[in-house]
Amino acid sequence: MSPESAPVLPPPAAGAASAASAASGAPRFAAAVANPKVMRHALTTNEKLFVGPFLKSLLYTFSRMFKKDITRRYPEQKMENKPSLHGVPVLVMKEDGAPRCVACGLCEFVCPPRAIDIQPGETDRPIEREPKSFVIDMLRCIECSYCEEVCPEEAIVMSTDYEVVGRRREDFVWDLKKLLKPIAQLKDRIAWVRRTYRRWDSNADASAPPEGGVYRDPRWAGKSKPVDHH
Amino acid sequence: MADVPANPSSSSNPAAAAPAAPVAPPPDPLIAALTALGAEALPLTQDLLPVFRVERDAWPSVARALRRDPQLSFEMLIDVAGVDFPKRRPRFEVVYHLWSLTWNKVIRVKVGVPEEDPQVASVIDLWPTADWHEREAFDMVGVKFAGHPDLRRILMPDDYPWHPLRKDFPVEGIDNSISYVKAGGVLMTRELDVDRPAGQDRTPVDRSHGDPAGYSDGTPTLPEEGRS
Amino acid sequence: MSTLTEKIVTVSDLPPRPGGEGGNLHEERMELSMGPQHPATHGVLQCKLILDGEKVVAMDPVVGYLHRGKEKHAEHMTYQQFFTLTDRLDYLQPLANEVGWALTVEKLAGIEVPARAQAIRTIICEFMRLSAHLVWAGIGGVDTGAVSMFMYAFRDREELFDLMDELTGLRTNQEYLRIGGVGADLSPELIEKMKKWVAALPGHVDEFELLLTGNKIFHDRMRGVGQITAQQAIELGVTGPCLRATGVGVDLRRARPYLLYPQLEFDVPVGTRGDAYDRYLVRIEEMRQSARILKQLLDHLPAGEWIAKDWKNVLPPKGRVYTSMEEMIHQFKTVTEWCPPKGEVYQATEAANGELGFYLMSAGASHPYRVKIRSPSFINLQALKPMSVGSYFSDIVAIIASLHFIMGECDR
Ligand code: SF4
Ligand code: SF4
Repeated sequence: MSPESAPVLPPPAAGAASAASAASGAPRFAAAVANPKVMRHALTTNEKLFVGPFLKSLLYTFSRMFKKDITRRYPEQKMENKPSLHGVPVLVMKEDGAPRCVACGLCEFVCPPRAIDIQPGETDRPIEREPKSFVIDMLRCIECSYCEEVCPEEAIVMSTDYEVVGRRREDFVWDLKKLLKPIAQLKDRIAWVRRTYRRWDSNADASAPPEGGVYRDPRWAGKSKPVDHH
Repeated sequence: MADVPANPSSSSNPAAAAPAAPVAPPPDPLIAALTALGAEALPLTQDLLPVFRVERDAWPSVARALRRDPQLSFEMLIDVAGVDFPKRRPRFEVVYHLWSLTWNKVIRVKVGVPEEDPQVASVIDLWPTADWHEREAFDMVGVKFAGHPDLRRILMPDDYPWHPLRKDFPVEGIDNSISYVKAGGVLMTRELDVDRPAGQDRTPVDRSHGDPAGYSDGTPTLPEEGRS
Repeated sequence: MSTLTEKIVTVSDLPPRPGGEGGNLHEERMELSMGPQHPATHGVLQCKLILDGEKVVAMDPVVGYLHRGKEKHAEHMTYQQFFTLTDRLDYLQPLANEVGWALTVEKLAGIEVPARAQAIRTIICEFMRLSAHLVWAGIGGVDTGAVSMFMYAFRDREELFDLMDELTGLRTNQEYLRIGGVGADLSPELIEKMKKWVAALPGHVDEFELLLTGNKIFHDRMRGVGQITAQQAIELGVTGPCLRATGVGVDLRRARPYLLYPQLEFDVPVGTRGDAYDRYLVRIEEMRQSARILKQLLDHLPAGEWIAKDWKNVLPPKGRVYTSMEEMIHQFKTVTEWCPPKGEVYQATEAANGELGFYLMSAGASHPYRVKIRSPSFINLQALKPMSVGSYFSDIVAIIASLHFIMGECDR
């Protein structure tokens, strides 16, 4: 945080330098910095008569009519979907139709408005655990993406769906059936997640999480056999 | 509308009101001067601001010196925070942050306030900005400020009986759908799990290991009278 | 001083009217409640007024209608979760509030933030200052009768939100900051878009001035209205543009520097008289200065990481979490029980309305022991009373517009 640790930027001007010296404890720092005074001009006769400025601003407003229209006509004209867009969170459904989620409960813990509710259960698949019920209350969800960031299985990601409507409150309580989206639809976002949350480690193995609790750490390659809990 | 004349003091230095030419810059003199007045210098914390603890009885004179002494001249009161330590004696602490525009220095002053007589001298005559700060501290923690001309609640409703930032006030709140004034102080509490999904008990991890600043057992306090 | 803090609640508390209380409307004083649902009070502020004809004799601002207990909630949330609540303090500049909280927590835990992350934070701080000032220009225009100002100011703000959308994924209340850095990197394409927007901004500010500064109606509404002296402003704890309009060149970016501000070149404009017109001029000039800061930063954005490489405080790289048990455990530990050391920190930043400070007390647990938010809107609002008493009733709208407080931040 110290100024020395910061990067090289254009050297500060004389004014900024005197401010820095003032910040180091020199007395009367408020007077030590030369601050530009904002200009308060008195009204000219033309402005007092009001006709000139009135016509000028009228002309300005009028000229806008011939400029390019920048309004987005929303329901017909949608926002362009960027990969960073946070829509509502959804669960990733693998090609075989099963959720990737292992019901670890981390997203449930981190969710600031407590929108997620998970009931874990056992399964015969190698991952051993899966959610029996997984509910997100979309009225509570603030689309913060914390769940996506903490999920250790890449099982919950933000979709591009930001228009959630319903007639009753129950319509907004999404269960597994509504939440599971085929992985093919979520390719863009998953790629974005892998790229972004790789963080400082550009060599991190950004492949999909392995199925069945099998850990293949490249650092351990050849040293021991991958552990299979079965 | 005619333009108003310029403020006489507007273009000059704000500190001009204080006597001119401060004697010496105060890194250590500050501590010495405050210790002489009865303040106790506490160890620095992470933000490296000078921290002082002042006895409740000495606080009016220390505050006066902090504001008026040209060697100190803390012109601006930045913040007043009331803090509750249920297991400490005295239970409450009022934390003041002061900023000297002359020296560009920020200090923190703590005044302990016992639970039996939760009262501390108001500094509104030295820093008029203390008005709302102190009303807020009274509203949230229940510390009274003697000498404040208008100590009402500011954020909570006027007839609210509790002080929500005390540690024994539950975060879910206590049902306030009835007027406590009309019900004669009889408490009506309700089950608090109505709209919370089941199984979401996220008890925070506490690594304080018996620190005096521990956490309470969550029993609600008895209601107090809403107004001072 | 007593006039500033005097308790005046009803007509009967006032001294008798000089001409005597008459029996008709022209001669008696009137109590009037403005708000809490008045369009000119910017949210839910109630002003209890006592009027003598058109003159305001006494006023009592009533706040607290938007109180959501954020300080209480903070004691029951993890440090990362509290970012979502700081967003909703001053909802016109959510990211600037997040920066304030991030700096506080990082100071407590002693986390070094890489240069690029600091630069991105400085950039979003200035964007948020612009966002708040643009809304202020639009709404202030509407309040003083220049309705088309709203359209022009919101045009720029919409484009700004599109930029923020691309950076963070959300248009407002972004939840973008992380302890130790930011949530995602700034891409080169986005930097180009930002540069384009920043380059166009000074021209747009000139347009605002064309519409307002020389306008006689605007002059008459703003000049000499709501004047306070520098002495009064300091006594009342006023900070930010409202303090600088009285001639005191105090800006926390200079006085108690944080982020990259010590290395940046910018001016701190000050006013001369401390009236509504000066507050307008100071804010307009601050918009130009923000554009200047942004240009320097976007042209010289340092390379490097956007989040600290700190295995104990930051979530580990995601790809390793998938494949390695050690990082998996780190991930769980960091999310559920990240505990900074015991201590206390007060960290202030210069938000659009003044000094936004977080006083954080930690007992070494996974959640704060006490958080006190020093909100500039709350403190600046105290100046409303001395500004309004003695002025005309219709001036109150102009005073509120020029003071510019956000009730979400005021009531917390
Ligand atoms: S996006 Fe945020 S609020 Fe929504 S479910 Fe995920 S963690 Fe909860
Ligand atoms: S964090 Fe991921 S794996 Fe764990 S419960 Fe949530 S979605 Fe499932």
